Amino acid sequence: MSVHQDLRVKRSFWLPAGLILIGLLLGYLAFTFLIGMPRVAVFRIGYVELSGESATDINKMLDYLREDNSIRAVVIQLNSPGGGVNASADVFMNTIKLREKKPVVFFVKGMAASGGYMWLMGGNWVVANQVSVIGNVGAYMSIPPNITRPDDTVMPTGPFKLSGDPSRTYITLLEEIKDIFVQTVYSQRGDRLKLRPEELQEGRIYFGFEAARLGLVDEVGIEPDAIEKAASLAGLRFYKTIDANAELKKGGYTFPYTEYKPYSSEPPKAEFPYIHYRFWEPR
Amino acid sequence: MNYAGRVSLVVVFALVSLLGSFFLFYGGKYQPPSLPLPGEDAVKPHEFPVQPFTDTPQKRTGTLVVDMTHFNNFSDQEFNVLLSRISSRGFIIHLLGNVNEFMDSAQKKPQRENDLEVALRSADSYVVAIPWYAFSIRERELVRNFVDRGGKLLLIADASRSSAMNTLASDFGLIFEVDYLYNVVEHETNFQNFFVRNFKPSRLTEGLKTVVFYQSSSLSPESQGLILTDENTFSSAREMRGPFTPMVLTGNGRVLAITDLTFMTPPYNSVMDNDRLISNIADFLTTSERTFGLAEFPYFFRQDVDVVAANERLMEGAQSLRGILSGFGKDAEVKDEESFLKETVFVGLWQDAARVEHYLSLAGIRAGARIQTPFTSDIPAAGTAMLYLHQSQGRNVLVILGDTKEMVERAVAMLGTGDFRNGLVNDRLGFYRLERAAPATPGRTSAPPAR
Repeated sequence: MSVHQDLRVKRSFWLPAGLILIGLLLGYLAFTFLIGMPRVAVFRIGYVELSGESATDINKMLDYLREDNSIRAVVIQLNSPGGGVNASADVFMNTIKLREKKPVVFFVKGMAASGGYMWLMGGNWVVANQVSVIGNVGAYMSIPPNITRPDDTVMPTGPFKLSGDPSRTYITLLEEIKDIFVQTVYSQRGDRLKLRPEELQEGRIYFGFEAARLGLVDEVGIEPDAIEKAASLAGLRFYKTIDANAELKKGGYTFPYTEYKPYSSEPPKAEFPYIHYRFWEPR
Repeated sequence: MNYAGRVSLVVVFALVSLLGSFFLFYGGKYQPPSLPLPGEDAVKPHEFPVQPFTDTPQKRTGTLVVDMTHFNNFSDQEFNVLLSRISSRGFIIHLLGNVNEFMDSAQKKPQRENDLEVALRSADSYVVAIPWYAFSIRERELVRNFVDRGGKLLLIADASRSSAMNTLASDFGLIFEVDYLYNVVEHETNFQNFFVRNFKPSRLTEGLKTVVFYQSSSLSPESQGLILTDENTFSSAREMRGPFTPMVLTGNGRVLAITDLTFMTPPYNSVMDNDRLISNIADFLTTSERTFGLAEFPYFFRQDVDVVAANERLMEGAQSLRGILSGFGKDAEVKDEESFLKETVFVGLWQDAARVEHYLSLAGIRAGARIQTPFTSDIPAAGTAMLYLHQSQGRNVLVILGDTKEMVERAVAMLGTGDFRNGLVNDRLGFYRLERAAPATPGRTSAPPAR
């Protein structure tokens, strides 16, 4: 074989090989820049009582998690005793909206009681610390007094103009709100729940391991278990875990509920009719 | 390989790499779960089970006393339904004290005890609801004596309000438990409002099929319960399945204890058979078994009274007694002859004792220079006045005998002031040693009572 023939043979091997390598490299770069490595966001909440104010902040976070397409799955580390019915229902519905786009796995580190437990119902899967406090399904309210006497100074146009309804109706409303809560739990937990409705509505709290046994949560575990489950539900083989709070902080927004502050002495911040999905921690 | 071929090779492998990377990282597609939320029909409408009821009261006479001296934790309107039923049965309602008045100080307690003693003298029934202050030893004794003498007692507590009820209830073997009863399986709107359908036969449970109690606690012992809860009703404190009882009848059928006030408060009185139960309670409280002794003067008289003066000289004393009776709300007329169909007070001297001998002899009392009774040693008639109450077949005859006109008048005066109670020998008889020379001083005995 002549030198020219030898060079031609070598070129015919290295040139296509180089071109293939360039193609593969360009493809990977295109994947990285156009699609990107999937991310699992962990949204950590220190302790939050659900009120109109805190629900606004939480919903802001949930919107961000929903709209960022590089985030393929979400883990919400939760610690909440619940709060007002409106706020609890608000974050629950917003979490369902997020769940429709990407999987949401809750990790209960401290407490998911009452309205906090309702929030869990918005996720796909719940991992709980073995001694976390779970449950307390139900609501309470202060009953407004009946207005049974006329007043000389205030003239209403109808018998319930000043009170809205007789106080008995508020008790009925409270019962209906409890029914909605119980039905919501059944609709979202389905066959996983092993408690009868009359047991669920007793409003008991359960520690994580007991809650898992009764189907109030899916498993006892730690945060990495929740992340793994979220990735698996999203169908991810390889992924990057990010801290959602830190990510958003880079954009100038600081989620305010990252501190652990139990035993709030503040009065509950619920809007009218002042009905609370709230668990009061024993002191 | 020409240029086009080389570009194609790069593009093909770039696509292979892109897809490979994608499938390497994204193993599958996320499928959101299909978990529909509860629909509008998930919440069942809660009907308020109101049941029409017509009360058919029977007219009776008597007095019901409502305790308001123990800082009782209820408002007037919560008792309106029961009190209107009592009133429609012809009973007089005496609200004793003021619920907002502080009556538990060392200075006020004797007044409270005295008020109760006076009120119970005329009472056929007594209602104590949610007392905040404890009942004193004296008050407990007064209430026990009242019940022993046939008085009806209604004790009402409420699970949602603290009370010192057990300071009184324990005297009748009852304990109001510090708990609340609940039923999560079947309830009226809230789990604390439970239905009861298990009634023991009694006048109090007549005609009842279903009653609803609202925030009721349990009573011990359950064995005396007139109403028993079902197997799904639990106690918040006792962590055990019932039956529990929210209503007990004890004390020889004279003490009724109920652990709920709300069931008799509008609008809850209209639910199921609650109104019927309230009427049954009103019947219980107005069916008097009360016996009155001399100490309860003049409340043993249930009708108009004839005051019979034995002679003209005693007319002044008889008129004075008529005035006293009138002051107590008892109509009286002064007569000179006794009518055996009417309530009577006989006013006479010892020498007139023969006219009432048929009453005195039944009690073993013999009047002469010395008065002989089975209850005392012989007492000299001189300087002595006597009160004796004869009760037979619903008729009461009060005999007042004295040594002189002045003594009779002083004995009458003591009836007005209540000092006569210091000289009672027993439930029917009292003796008073009065100095002949002393001027008649109404309201004061000048000598210690004879015993």
